[in-house]
Amino acid sequence: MALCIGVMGAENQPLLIKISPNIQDPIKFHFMLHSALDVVEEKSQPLPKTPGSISGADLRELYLGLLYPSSDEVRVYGYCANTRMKMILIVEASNTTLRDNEIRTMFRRLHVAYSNMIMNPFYDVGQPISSKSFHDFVDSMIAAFGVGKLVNPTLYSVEMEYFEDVPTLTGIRLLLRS
Amino acid sequence: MSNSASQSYFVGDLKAPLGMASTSQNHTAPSDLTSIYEQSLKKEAVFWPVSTFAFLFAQSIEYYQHRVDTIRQLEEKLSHLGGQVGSRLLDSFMTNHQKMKREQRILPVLLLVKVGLWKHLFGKEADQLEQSNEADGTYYIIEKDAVTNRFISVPRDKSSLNCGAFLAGLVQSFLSDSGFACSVVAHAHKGTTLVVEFDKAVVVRDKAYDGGK
Repeated sequence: MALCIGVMGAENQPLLIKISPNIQDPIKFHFMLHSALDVVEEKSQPLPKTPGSISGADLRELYLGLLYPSSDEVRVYGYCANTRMKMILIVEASNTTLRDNEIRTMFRRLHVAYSNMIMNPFYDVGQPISSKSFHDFVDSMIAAFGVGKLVNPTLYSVEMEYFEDVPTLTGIRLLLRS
Repeated sequence: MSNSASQSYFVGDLKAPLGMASTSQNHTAPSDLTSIYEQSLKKEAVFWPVSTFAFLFAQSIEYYQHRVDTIRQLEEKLSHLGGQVGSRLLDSFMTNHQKMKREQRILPVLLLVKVGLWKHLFGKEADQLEQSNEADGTYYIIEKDAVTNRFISVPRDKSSLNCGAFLAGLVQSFLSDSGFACSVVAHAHKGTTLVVEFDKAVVVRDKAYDGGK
């Protein structure tokens, strides 16, 4: 269940931070996001080749996997695009249904939404994101993978109308409908 | 609703937009096929006619031409315009690309430009990729028939103008945004030659990656 989604620019400046509305202390999540950036930095830097270092994960992978050793409450996942745009996703640790593959798909969807968003010539890359459709998309993502009982499905189906012509969101739409 | 979703495409979906002969072979209209089983499951690429691009590009050159004093300034403007495209293209290209990788070495990223990016934009590979013998960290991407120059006949009094500056700007911001700071200049040599000159820091980093054993 997504509790928090953060999008950071190339210089680690926050572009968009969304926290699930039923979180008591959002400050804690801001802290987690920012400390996660250190791990992202570490994982995405090109390292000098050392014997044995190649055996692990492919360093060029955009999806960085679990960033924190999983704590009791939350798990933090990271993703770093070629433009060094970073996305961080915090999910509840108690949710065992979200596997690595699902997280990967979520990041991919987010990335597609982001790349559609920056196609807007009036958006300066690296500025805080104000695009309504992107905001709604992230909201829907938090809602779709969020704490189910607090989300009013009718409310979200209204918001989804903005996405009529974005093909990538079909999956989300179906998910919400079911 | 489902109909509109399947029909729609977005600006970033520029797979083989300026359809060349080589790629248009794959593009067969569904009505030609006898049964639905023979149709490809792959989504049809959205084709953008070369003439559309040529027109738009010619208009932008005309627009800039009245707003500059020298040819150099015009090239800078075109390069800046290309840069706008390149930096936005990078994310969209990567989400469309099959093997999404964050390249960290110079050679793979240049090959990505030569093969991947060029196919994405023009439906074919760039003609050649060469490394300079003299200067370290200088590479040449040679494109014989650049679409930016194909329909532009440069008047004699502006003979130094090379509209490949647009491509140069595009490649420059594509590389710079992927973490390979460089400067790219277009020259009219063997068609259009893009001279990619990487920053010293990038070259040093690339060498450190090799020799850090």
